[in-house]
Amino acid sequence: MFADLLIGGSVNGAFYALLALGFSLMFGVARIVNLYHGSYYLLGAYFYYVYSVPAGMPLLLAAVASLASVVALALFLDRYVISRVRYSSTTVMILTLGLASFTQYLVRIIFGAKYLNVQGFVQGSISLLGVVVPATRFLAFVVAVSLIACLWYFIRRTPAGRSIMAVAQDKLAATYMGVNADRAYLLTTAISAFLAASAGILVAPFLTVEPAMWLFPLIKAFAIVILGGLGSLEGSVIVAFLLGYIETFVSLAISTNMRELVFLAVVLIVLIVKPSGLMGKEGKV
Amino acid sequence: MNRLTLSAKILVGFVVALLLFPLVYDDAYLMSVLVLACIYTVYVAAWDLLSGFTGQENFGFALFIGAGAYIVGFVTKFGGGIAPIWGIPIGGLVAAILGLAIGVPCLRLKGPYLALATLAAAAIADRLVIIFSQYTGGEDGIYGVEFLTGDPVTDYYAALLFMLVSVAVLYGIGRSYIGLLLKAIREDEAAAEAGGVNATLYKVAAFVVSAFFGGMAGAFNAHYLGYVGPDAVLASHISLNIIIMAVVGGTGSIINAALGAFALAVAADYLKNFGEYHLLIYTSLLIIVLLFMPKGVFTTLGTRLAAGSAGKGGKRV
Repeated sequence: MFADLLIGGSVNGAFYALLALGFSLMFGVARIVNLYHGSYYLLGAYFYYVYSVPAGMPLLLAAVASLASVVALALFLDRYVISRVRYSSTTVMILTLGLASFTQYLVRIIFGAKYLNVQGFVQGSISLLGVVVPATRFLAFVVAVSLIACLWYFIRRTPAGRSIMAVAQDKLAATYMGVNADRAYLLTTAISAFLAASAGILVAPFLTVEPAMWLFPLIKAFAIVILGGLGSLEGSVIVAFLLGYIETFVSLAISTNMRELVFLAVVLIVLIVKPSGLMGKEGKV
Repeated sequence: MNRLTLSAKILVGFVVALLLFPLVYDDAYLMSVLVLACIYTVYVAAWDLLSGFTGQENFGFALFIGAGAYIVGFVTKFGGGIAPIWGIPIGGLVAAILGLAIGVPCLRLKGPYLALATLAAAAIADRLVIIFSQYTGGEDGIYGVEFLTGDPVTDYYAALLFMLVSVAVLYGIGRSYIGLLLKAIREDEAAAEAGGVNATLYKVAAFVVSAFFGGMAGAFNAHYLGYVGPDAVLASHISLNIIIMAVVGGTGSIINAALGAFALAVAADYLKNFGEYHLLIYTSLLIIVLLFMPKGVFTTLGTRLAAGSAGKGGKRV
């Protein structure tokens, strides 16, 4: 039971963290709540399917091509569509929600509502602490944790990453210091789309790939980012793992049906008790 | 008042056309479409009073609609039925109480925080309905709710009357000093409080009134369909559709959002002729409106009409 909880929760937590980080970064830097974020995840999985199955590319190449396609689309949308309404945060939220629904319906027309089967990079399963873990899940966990580590290094230790954080802290001051804010926005968009699309590719082999798959991960990423404190990357990672363990515990101890209810109840209670999130700064909206 | 004449005249003409419509064209299907359009119009007008005026976007409005509808469903299932004349106000009252219960703890939340809290609250209700399916009927819902009148033409006039009265009351609140105070709170809460406005009281009041009309419309929907179920009154896509309709029409004036709801509800039904493409077209419309008329179609049109009839001084908001 404990080993099940530890392993299942860690895999879920790493997946949530991967999704939530891009969302958090996008809010912190560009001050927009991008509800299209779940669609990057959806498109990552679908592009991977298209490149690997009908196009017959080798799996690794298909994954790289999928990531490149999603990042290119994200940059296009950010530059030519979302930037037009950036002056109003509500309009951005509704526009990105509209774009996400549009993508869902388009994908449904092209591929149908059926679940797609996508092949993983690895086969079989391995045994950890006496628990049998499918190798695809283990790989997803390892890659997700490595990507999170790379992101942390990039943001905190490289000049380009620091310029992003500078814009997040104070756009005007960063601009005076010679940081190009528009370039920081585009870089953030690319990173955010890259992380979400990787999550889509990594979990596609063992979760369902279908046109509505964007919504629940989006709500969870949104919740994680707000509970962690909008714009706090460390907070997002901690809350993502916490929720991963809570969800796994609830589904092991009570039932899968209660999993989402407990998750939502935790979200509502935290918001009411501590509106700025667990690690957010007071009064930062 | 003079500069509003043209918009007002068109509006009056539109209402008269709706009143006369069944006399000219007796089509039961089209009337059912218009009844649902009227119900959606009340949802959106009620949403606009809270969200358009105070800027507190409610992403889970279906919670109030569902509360009003489900109380009618529960009374039908366990209390042997309820007449619409009682069911609709009771639905409103129950939703208003819920609005008070949700509104008070959510007062401190703004923007994306409030969006998430309301989204979560509605999703919790949706989950509870599925988990306690022995009481709520789960996905299937509750059948056998007493019908509104049972006659398509009478139903149509009842819905039209319900819509006109609700929108008129909400519009009246919005035009009064209360609406002005709500907008003052939206623009700068600290400044409004410094000016002697009890912001907390007005924000909670807006939550309660908005919930009351949402709940009445939900109960009206339950009586009209004779059925209560998550897909009809509680699902998250209803909440999202309400926001879409309000934004496409234009928020912050009740009338523009209400017109947006009516037009989109009718358009959505017409688009069903396009089969699987209809949702694609519907969302494309939303995207185009947001990009080219971000203030909403009817707000933009109203401003243009006013500017056309009264020169440069005709700008209003």
